[in-house]
Amino acid sequence: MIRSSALYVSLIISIFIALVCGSILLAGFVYKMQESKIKRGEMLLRNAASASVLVMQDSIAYGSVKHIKLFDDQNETGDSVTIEKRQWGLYELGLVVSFKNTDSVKRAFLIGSSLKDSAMALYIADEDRPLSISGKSRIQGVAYLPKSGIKSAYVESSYYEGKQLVFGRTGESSRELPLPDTNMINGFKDLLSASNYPREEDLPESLSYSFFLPVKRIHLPINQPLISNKRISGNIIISSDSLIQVESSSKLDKVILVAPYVKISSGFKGSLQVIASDSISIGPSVQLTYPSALVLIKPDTAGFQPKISIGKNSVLRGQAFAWEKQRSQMMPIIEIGHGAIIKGEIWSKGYVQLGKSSLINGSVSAIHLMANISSIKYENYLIDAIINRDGLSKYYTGSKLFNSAHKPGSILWHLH
Amino acid sequence: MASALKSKKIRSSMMIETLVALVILMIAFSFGIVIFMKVTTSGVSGKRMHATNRCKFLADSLIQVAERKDILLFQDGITYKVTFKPDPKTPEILIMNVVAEEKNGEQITKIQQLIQDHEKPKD
Repeated sequence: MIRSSALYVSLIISIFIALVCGSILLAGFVYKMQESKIKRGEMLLRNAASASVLVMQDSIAYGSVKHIKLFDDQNETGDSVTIEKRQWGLYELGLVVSFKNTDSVKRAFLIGSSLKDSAMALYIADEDRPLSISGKSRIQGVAYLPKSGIKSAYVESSYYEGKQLVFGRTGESSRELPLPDTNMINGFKDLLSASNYPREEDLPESLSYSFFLPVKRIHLPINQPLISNKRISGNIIISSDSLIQVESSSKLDKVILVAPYVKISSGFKGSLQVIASDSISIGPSVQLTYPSALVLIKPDTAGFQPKISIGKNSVLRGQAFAWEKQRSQMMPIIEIGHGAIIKGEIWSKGYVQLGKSSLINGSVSAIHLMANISSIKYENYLIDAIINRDGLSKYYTGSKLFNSAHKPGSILWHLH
Repeated sequence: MASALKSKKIRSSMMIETLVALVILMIAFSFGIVIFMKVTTSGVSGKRMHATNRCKFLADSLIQVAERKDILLFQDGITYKVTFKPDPKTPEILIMNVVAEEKNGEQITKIQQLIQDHEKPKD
């Protein structure tokens, strides 16, 4: 006897339908999950971009971590971000984290400033003396000169070879240089004087440190000033009470060196910021890649002449800055070696000495220019050196130090 | 063959058995339809994805240009509204809203981002 068993057949069909429905449901759920994950990721990225705009505002103070809701929309969820701003040498460091539940997007970047005067090539303080130009020198861009102006000069058997004295507009300078951002200068002073930081003495062979962590400060012992065969990058300040010497075998990236005297040996290549109180010596054929900076802060009570010297055929992409608070007889000096190339800004509350065939693609601001030919020093002379503002990349972003209260900052460099 | 069939008795299903089977099948099918409808309506929607992508494109493009003007666009039956308003906490920053809406005003997607006021790209 054969039973038709409709109940069994219908149960089997039902189970089959349930399996198909379950599969559709699962597929739909997976798609939905994936879609919401992508959507959340995009929203977090967009919120991180919004937070980046916020952190670049001047109103955000250094050091404090702010937890904020981006939009006041009550229905909006997941718009929470934390923002933090710190001074990182000559630049500002922006840190943003956007998050929702356990998902987060982090961004760390250096903040630069658009240039206040995008055409300035030269600013020489007015000391009632004209600027003399000779040989194969060339000034391309806007030049702010003393009231007594600029004249061609005959030096070392050569006349000025140019057809005009300045290839650009000229303006009158004042007795003082435009004042840089004093808060940043105070930040440099704090770095130079800080001795009570939690710090380590061991410098490992290789070290990379995230900017989302507190600053790692390594203080070199006086008897071990050499940085040789090291690979160091990130959120690290290396300091010393006397000297730091960096060998060409080392690879440094985005680190800050703080010491009275810093020496970079010939052939070194890397991106770093140097903050010194006595002198900075850059050897021949050194390449300091963008964004690098050399900062010299003369102590208020110092009775010596602090100096930044950039060796022959070296390249600096960034800024060189020399500062003293009160004008003294021993003004700081920035010496640019023969054939050296600076792509950026030079600012000295003292002298800037440009060597033969040196090329400044950017701007020079100083109390006096100086030239040293055959051991004779010529004050307020430009001899066989080129200052070419047009040679500076249109994408170059400067420091807030020279461009404060101008425009909100912009992202200069994304960090890891 | 005919003799073989004649020798066997074929019993039909009982009325109650058929009814129960019908009920089970109906429940199974109705669940199936509900789930299918739910997945197709609330899952990945081509229209929504399209609208979202266009909103993203609009937002990213408008960040790059200096002009900060409200915009109203119609495309494929979807209305795209772009508005800029100053952030109440930081007036030098603008809140950019990009909203995609159906014809009946129902919101499909929305993008919000803070941007710099009068931010001009470098030339």
